[in-house]
Amino acid sequence: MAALFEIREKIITACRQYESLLMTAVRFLAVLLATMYINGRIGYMDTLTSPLLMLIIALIGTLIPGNVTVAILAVIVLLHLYTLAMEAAAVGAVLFLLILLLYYRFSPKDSMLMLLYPASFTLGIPYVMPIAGGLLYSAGSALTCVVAIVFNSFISFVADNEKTLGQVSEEADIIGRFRFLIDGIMQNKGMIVMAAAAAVTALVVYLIRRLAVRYAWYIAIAVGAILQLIILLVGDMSFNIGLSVGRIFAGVLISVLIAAVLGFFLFNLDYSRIENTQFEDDDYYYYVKAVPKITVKEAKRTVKKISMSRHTPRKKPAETPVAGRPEPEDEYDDGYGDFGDDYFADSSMEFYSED
Amino acid sequence: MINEQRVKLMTRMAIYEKNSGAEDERTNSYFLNDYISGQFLRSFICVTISFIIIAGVYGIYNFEELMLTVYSLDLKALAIRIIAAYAVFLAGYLIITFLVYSVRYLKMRKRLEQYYRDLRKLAASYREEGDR
Repeated sequence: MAALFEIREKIITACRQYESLLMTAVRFLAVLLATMYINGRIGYMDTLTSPLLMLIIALIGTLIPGNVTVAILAVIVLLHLYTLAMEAAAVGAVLFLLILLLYYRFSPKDSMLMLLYPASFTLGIPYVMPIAGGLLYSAGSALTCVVAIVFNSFISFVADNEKTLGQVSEEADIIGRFRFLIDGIMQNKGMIVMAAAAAVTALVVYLIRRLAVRYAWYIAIAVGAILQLIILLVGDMSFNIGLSVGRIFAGVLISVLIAAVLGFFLFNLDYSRIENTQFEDDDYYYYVKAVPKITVKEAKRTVKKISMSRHTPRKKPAETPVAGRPEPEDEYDDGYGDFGDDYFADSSMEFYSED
Repeated sequence: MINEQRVKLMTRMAIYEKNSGAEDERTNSYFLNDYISGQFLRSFICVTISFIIIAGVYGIYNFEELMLTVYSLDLKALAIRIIAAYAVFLAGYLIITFLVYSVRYLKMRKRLEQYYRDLRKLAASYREEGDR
């Protein structure tokens, strides 16, 4: 296990050197995949589906805040919907407006979940999103997942019924189509079950991973995955949604693996990144690159001698030290060796300055 | 000679200023009560607009039934129901607003206190140097 941690440290150190580049690449890919997903499902406006424009949108998406990127994607969706049918665009606009007013008002910081959701859905592993959200962000990621699922199922509903919606019909049918679209959202039991499972999972994962217990992250992943599986299966049975049980199992399993890898690499990081700062005092200009330290303590084993004396007190060994028993070397020593003690590891900084 | 301790302090402060310093400073210009009241006002506006949108969509969705029964409707009972729904919606949303923004305010205070501690240490370090 210690070898694994050393490998982890090496990989993280290597990644940190190129961190900003890596994060930009991930964001670029996420925005590109989301745009491709939208254009693939509901690409009714030909101008927007050109690959060059998609690349430009993805490039812009890497430069601006995540929430603004989400808003741009929402506008793209609306333009496509408008090309198909005015009613679809109207319902879409209402949906987006409500989400904007009620949810984005809190300016959530987990727009990455939103951007990556279409990609994970296409790959059949949307179950990883609530787990990752609970691990990496706040309890609010439960809502982000719900919003992503509602968006996604609305897009899918429009794509599946494009013929019905695209027909040119008389004025009187406007309300009929409007009702058809709203029914499509409100009575989509599959979506409701998925959203409930995601919300509960994200909340539970968040609550468990914050607990001050050993392996909190891994317990959170396991409990979250099992809970999600149970809610999906129970929902499927009681509402007859027709989800494929095999696919759910496979999806959840792969999601757990991805979440475990995430947990292994990001566990206990305080998300402080490499920071390039500059400041000055009376004598110098400082250009400082601050690199957060990650330290893995070497496994330390304390050998305990168990005294066979009959008068050994059984309790409060700290107050009445037993001869031959070593004193705990650090205040967090709990007698189990040092494994897991990096829960409390401090991140500190290394400095160098250039003139 | 570069004072390493001082560089550490200044770096930590510069990182804070770059990341959340400006926003924290803005938030800190309010007392907790004023800050929360301001957020309540924004929430109130958001909830009201949302409620009008939802009511409008509901109205269009049930357009035919509404038109058919508009004369037989008990308007007073309808108004009471609408106001009750709005009140519940608003109250729920304001509770969430209160929780979210009081937590944010308290976290901001903690960050700012750390910043001022660093600032005092820095000032002390310069004073010491001046004494020498």
